[in-house]
Amino acid sequence: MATSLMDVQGVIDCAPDAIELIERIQIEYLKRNQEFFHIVLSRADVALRDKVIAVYNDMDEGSRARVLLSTELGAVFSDSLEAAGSDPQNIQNMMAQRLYGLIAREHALTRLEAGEPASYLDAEAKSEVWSPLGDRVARRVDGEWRLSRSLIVGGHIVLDFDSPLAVEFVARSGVFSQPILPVSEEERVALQAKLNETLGKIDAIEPVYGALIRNFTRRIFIRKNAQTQDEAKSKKLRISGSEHSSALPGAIKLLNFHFPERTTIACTESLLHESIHVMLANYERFSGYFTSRGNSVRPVSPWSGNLIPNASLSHAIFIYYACYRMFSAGAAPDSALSEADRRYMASKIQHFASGFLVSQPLSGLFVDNKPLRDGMGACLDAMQDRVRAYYSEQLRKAA
Amino acid sequence: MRNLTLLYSDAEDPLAVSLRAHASVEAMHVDDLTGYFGKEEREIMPSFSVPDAVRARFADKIVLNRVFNLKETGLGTRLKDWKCHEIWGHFLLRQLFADGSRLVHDTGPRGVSRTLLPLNTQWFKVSRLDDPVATPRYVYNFGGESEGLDTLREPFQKSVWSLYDWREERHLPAGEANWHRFFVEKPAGSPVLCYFFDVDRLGEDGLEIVPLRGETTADRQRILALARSLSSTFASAVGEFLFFVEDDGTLRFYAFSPYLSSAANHPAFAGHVERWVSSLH
Repeated sequence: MATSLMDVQGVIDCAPDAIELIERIQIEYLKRNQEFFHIVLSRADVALRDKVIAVYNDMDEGSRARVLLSTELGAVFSDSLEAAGSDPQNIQNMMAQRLYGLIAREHALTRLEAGEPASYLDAEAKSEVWSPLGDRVARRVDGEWRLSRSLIVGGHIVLDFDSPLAVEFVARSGVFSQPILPVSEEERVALQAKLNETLGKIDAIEPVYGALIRNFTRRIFIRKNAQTQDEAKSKKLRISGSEHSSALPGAIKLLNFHFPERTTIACTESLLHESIHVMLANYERFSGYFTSRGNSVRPVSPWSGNLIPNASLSHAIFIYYACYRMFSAGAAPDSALSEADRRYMASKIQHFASGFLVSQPLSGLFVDNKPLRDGMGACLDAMQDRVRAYYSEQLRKAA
Repeated sequence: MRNLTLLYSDAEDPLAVSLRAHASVEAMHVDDLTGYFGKEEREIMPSFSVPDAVRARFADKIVLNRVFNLKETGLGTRLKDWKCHEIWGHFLLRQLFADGSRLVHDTGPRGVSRTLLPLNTQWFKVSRLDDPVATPRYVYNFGGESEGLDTLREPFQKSVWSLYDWREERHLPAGEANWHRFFVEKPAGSPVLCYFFDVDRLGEDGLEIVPLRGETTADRQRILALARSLSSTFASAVGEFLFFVEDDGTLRFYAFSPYLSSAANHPAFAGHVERWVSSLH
């Protein structure tokens, strides 16, 4: 079934059919990835295509879905969009080769786990082979491949500390531009517990948002640049933060979430914030971008005062509206949270509401060569109108 | 009869300096209103209870909103103490301005107020006017990236927020020095400052063109039309802007500013202020 911007709005508003809408968006995203997979194969050299098809046909449905929803497949897709216009045959073969790598690794790890021979691994020169989803890794120890599973939060979201994607340096990333300190086993388990507790709090306040996070976020990259907050400050490192990048679909990045200052109630915002980015990016992948991708002029976010890309602002408005909703519900006297958590949530509402109180329509803040896509401006301004009308009414009553 | 009500946040603001003792102007510093703001711990929104007598000073008046920055004000400090975003201050003040007959300058913090836009946003808007004007070539890096500098002639680093300093940037904040770096081509040709007061109503009488080096060949009618467009684009009936006339006659727009800090040094400035205020009766 076709989806529209109203479906996204329905999820943000936690409409009665929100879970169905989440599934609809994710299925369309899956189909788009499947279509991409087919297009790349159809354009690749025959020998390479046959090699991919042979492995694919030997995989079960679960393995195929894991590959199609993986951040790695999304990354190949993102790169292919970036590379559009370059030498087509060369690019198509390179993309097909990367897709072969993904399914061959998934296939080999599944066989290894089942105790079956995995010839792909025997030919592998590296001593570590990761699944595309990041949920499993095979490591060669004394000539033998040993499989281990990654830590999981929320039932199936992978915590990724060590994969090649997790340890990349990316100059434009606030998280991946940071140095890497090793994370101990104890810290890993503590972080897993912390994020599970965070998700539990979100479920207790607004189960739709818990479902949103679990459906769209498949992988969490963890980075640590300092042992303590004081150390990060004294070394002038970035203290803490979270991030989503459209180059790594389905994944979010967290920096220094092991700090005790990052409480679980504070983490609720990060998980919801970044997971809505993932949902919106998935939606854009099959329905078209909300804005153009240019960065030479950037609007100012009313919330942070920073200049951010048009694409980020289009996401931010949905995100702050959802945070405004969740924090209002969490702060309510009948919420399931502790008194301290309720107070924390109440203290943050003013920030989420603030950006909606600016004088001009939020759609007027965009500085994009392309107009916003049909219906987008009205959708964003409607969220603003709701928040602004509420506080204008409060003022009127107080007068 | 006082038709103009001025609210300002900076005591050094050139219009505040000119108008706060003016017989025809009701002038207030924003902190004259700070006592009317309050915050109950349990409430999300600060309260703003303005006595009728104060409210009457805005009702049916032309409101000149020179509240450009709350950071150095008592209101800004209070909002910070209450852990309230600065936007709440502007939002609540706007309820007062709504009683006025006309608002000069948009409300809100920089980048959000249409009056206080960063340089490249200004250029984006100016290059899309019905009668577009040339704007500087620039590179705006993302994050820690460093790319595209070789495409510029004589690039120099600027702050996107710094509306002055066109020879050498003297106000580059630490946060911009190595992150999201902004480079602009050094201006060429003759600099011209222009300031205006209500050009929609006053026409050429509200316009002053000040060549900063020698004389200018720029067409006066074209500058007037540009001033009118900028006045509307930046929601500012008063303001100043800088452009350069290049050797081939190209007029290149550099910056609009509502602050009037260059204009205030010009001998004709006081006369323009007086003429404008008189015209409001």
